[in-house]
Amino acid sequence: MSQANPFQDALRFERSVPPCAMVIFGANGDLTRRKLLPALYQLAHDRRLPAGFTVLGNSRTAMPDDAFRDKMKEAVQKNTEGDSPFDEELWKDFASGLFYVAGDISDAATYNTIRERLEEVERTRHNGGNVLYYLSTQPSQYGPVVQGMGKAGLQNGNGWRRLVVEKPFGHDLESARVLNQTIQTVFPENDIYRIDHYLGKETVQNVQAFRFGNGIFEPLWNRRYVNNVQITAAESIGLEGRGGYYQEAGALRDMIQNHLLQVMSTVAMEPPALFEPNAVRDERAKLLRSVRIMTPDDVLQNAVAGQYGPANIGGTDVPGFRQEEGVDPNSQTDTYAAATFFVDNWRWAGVPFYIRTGKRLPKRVTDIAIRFNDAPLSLFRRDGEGAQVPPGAQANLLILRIQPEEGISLRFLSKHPGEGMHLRPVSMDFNYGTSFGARSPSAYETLILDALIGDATLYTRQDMVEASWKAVAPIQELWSNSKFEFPNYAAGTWGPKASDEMLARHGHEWRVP
Amino acid sequence: MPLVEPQKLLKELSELWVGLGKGDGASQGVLRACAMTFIVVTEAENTDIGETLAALMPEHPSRAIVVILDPKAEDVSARVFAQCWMPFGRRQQICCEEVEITTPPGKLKDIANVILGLTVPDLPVVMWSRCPSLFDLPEFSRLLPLIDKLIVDSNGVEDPSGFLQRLVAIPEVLVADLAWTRLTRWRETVANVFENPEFRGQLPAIHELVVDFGGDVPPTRGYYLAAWISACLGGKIQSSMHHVEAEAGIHAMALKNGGFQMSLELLDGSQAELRAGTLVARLVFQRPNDYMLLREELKILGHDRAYESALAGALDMSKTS
Repeated sequence: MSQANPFQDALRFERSVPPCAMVIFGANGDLTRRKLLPALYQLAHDRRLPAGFTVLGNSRTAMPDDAFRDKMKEAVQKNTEGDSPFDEELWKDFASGLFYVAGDISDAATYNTIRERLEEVERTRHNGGNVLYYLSTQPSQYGPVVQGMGKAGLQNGNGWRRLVVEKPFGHDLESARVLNQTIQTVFPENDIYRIDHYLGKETVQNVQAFRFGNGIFEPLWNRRYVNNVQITAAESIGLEGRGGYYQEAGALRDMIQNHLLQVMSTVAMEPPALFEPNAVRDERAKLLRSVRIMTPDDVLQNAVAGQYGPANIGGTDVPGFRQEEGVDPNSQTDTYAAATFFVDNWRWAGVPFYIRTGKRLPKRVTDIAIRFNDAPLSLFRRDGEGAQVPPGAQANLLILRIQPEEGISLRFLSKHPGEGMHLRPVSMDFNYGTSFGARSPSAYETLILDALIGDATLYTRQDMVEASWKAVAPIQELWSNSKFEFPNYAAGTWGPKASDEMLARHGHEWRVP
Repeated sequence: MPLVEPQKLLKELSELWVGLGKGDGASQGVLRACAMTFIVVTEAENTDIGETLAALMPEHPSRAIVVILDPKAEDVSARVFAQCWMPFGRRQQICCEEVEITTPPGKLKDIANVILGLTVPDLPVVMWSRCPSLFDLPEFSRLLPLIDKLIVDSNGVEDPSGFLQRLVAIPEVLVADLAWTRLTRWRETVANVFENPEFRGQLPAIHELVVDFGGDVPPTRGYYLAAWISACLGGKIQSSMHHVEAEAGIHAMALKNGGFQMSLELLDGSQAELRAGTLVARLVFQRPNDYMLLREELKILGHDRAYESALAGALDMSKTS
């Protein structure tokens, strides 16, 4: 066993990344250019990467190392999210660790070449044989790439070997199981990092700090006090060139199965005994396994599919989904999905968790609204002449805002100053950006750093992935055998009427975020 | 009747917030934020701290109490105002409050009670002394019970040993020295180098530390660095400091054993060169300003054991050098 590093100072130093290399499959793709390399450059700028850090990119396109570096430089200059100006000197140093291997992922020779290059950089750049592999290819290629890596022995070496897999993890429960089995024949579960970038967002992490770092809210965090929970992930944009992918995926698969159920598990999970990766993930997995599996009748009552039609928004004609480029004019794809989930455990029995997501909604917003029960006896008149509380007053609400402005708001009733006793809702806001002026790292910076350090807390595990597929499987099955009367909502509105009716059946209504 | 009353200042602060809340209609309201009371003691000719305080406010929102020691002042006076900023893309301004108290040094003891009345309840109180002579004032001891943490800066002191001795002698208050904070980047780089098992294997044989410094006398942070490395390596290391023609402060350091050397040297601009065995790398190595140092220091409101150990070691080394 190697000795501990005597110079580490956890009080002042950021968590340190051991010397290592990162291999990106699909290095010429959109994700690498828009997210991965900008995140890595920002980490280098913030001094979070070790000396000798190496990136080895792979894709089919033939190009020398220098051409790859030029492409990545352009990508970093265009997409870096930090507020620091691009630093030429830093880039030179960072780029000296960028290498490229051209090769088809169906060709065994590609993996042998990667192995040889890794052996070479291990010698020249002193990275101890530690390697993080990142699958940034088409999802259908995950299995073949991992098998190719296995045949070439890329999972073994002098140091640790980890694998990051981008979503989607399969397209249904069965394909997710097959993919997990394929990957696990090469990498052990502990070395597989399934990325869900929502979990890397600062506010999602802050949910845990908020719940488990304070003693104020957790006593209220249960069926006795919480009336319902609403999770909204709305996008105002349409397909933005993702027509091909989106038509196959749909809102339920693209957002609810992964991101939003993971967010729900963070909001609703039990406190872990320790704040360490498997303890936290155990609790998330337990929560997901407690989600009640719907019967076909339940699906009819508790799930709503929608697809946007054309509209004029602010003087601009916006096409409907079926009019978008690359979309089948008779497409049955859901661009809106809403569902009511129930969690069958002692804490949450009977509390509905409403989740909705959609494209071309009125604005881009993601938040979680926890509505607490009203006071048991209302002292203030709510109806009729002389009402002291305005009709529809939104209070008793705790809102965890994920985007665009990360923060937390508490809405409660307060006396209006002056004569009489008139109440009005007020908002007490905590804004991340304004309370802490420092830049929050992007989700990819956080998650890549965690994978390099070996912290899997924010990554999903096989059992979590399978549990969330199980939760949506009945909806998938019924929807795939249904013919919807689409479009059923106009672009720029909050979704189909059936979605409002779904909540009305429980005596609730969607809040307007 | 005292010239400056906490109650009156608090009322003025309250009125300030009401005034800001009414605004001019364009600001769309004001958010108030506070995480601590931050007392700054400075001299009259050295009051250029507005920019530093404003820069700190977004990350460490506080009630700032700036005490200006002015020998020309006849009596104690005070005023209150707000530091506001409009975050990019937001419609609400964020404001923090500032109380500025000017006092002749001899009346410092009179304002201890004023400060006590002005501290924000339930939140930590941190004092940043920009005034080296503060230690020599008998009134200084009256201020200590008010604070949780005292931040000083030994950068450029002519008598490192005497200064360190005074720091060691301060009772019952957490002490921080920005000279130590300046070392974080150096220390972190050393630590990261030895994250590599290949280099870490060289540690047992390391027997020598060389620190190159610029300036007339060895800087306190040179002693801190040597004491820290010595403590990390179990005390079995010979340290030496060499004067070089360079900007005051540490210019370079090297750890050596027979066949291995790890060195770090400042280059022009904001870069440094790291060498470890055959590895050579250029690093971004910004010279930190007051804002950057305080930003780090204000995050730490408990004991810093590494610093406390280095302070004791540095004092011993400075006495014997």
